[in-house]
Amino acid sequence: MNSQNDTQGNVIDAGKRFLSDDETELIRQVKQGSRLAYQTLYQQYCGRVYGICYRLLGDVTTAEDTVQEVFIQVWNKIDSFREESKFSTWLYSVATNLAVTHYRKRNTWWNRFRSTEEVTVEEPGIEDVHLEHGLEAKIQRLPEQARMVFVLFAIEGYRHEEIANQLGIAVGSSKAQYHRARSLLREWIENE
Amino acid sequence: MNDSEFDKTLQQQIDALPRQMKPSRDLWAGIDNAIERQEQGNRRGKTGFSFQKLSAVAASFAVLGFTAWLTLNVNMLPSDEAQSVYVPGENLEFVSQMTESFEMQKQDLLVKYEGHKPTADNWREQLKELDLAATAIKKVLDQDPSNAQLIKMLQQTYQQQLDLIKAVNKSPWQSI
Repeated sequence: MNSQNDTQGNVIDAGKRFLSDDETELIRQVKQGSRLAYQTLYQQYCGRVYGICYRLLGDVTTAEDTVQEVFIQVWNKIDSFREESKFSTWLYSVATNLAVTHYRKRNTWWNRFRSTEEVTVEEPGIEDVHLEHGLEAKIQRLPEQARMVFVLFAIEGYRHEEIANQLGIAVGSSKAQYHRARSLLREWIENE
Repeated sequence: MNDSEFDKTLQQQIDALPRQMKPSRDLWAGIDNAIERQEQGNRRGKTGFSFQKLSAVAASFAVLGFTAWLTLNVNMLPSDEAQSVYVPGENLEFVSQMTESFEMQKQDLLVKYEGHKPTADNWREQLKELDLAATAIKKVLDQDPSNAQLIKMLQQTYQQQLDLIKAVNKSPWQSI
């Protein structure tokens, strides 16, 4: 994990400040209702959670909204965190689940039908500064399901069985989507 | 580039990807606000629940107690003591003035708190219950205008209604 990336700015600085803090103690305080302790955890993990959401969802605004949703949900569910796994593992799984839920809502039959009916002109949104990295831009060019599978498998380290379960597809489809993503990336990288 | 070379290149590029990214805006403020709103809602919910429960129990006791009292006493003759203190004609006039004054105060309060978000959802039902109790007392008073206890009970029922309107419309910070 490259946590020293220069592009992290304040997120990394805040993280560094609290790296020495005992996370278990922070979580204990959060369970007792300390918003300050929770803000510390947020500062420590916001960048990573945003990274997961952005790569899975492919747009800045939805990813940011999802990050907020993740941290609100984690606050509400913190009592159910039994500390049998690392907090980060639990947090990232909540983030992945919520991002996948957003993706699945966006891909309902009705939404897909509407998107073929309505031709909309893309409004220029927030400038996407994350696309400076070559591979990042290529990942975002991938077809949506291929991108989701690629990010979950190659970057986040999920198994195809887990991905298939989360996305509601067959294991074979997950593997096929990964190979599709890999082929497209190969084509784009080799033609550079 | 063969498969193995490509996989190596791809893996190197994946490893070089930053795992952390910086959002374009401050997200904490929104999270903090949402949590604060939830907490406020929970606090209000808890207060509202206990108040609702308490006032419902109080209103039910008032109605039940009154019904029981009526069952036991309605056919009994008014006590000599009561008769010696209250004169029927004057009492009816007093009850009428008291009712008129109560209705005015009640209307004033309802106008004052119009548009306020009450702390209990079913307060109008509780008010209706108390109003029914007052109507029942007045009916018995028509038959027994010299009964001091009934007049006192009517007065208490009116006061309970006014207190209820004030209590459910009080701002949460006023109770801190």
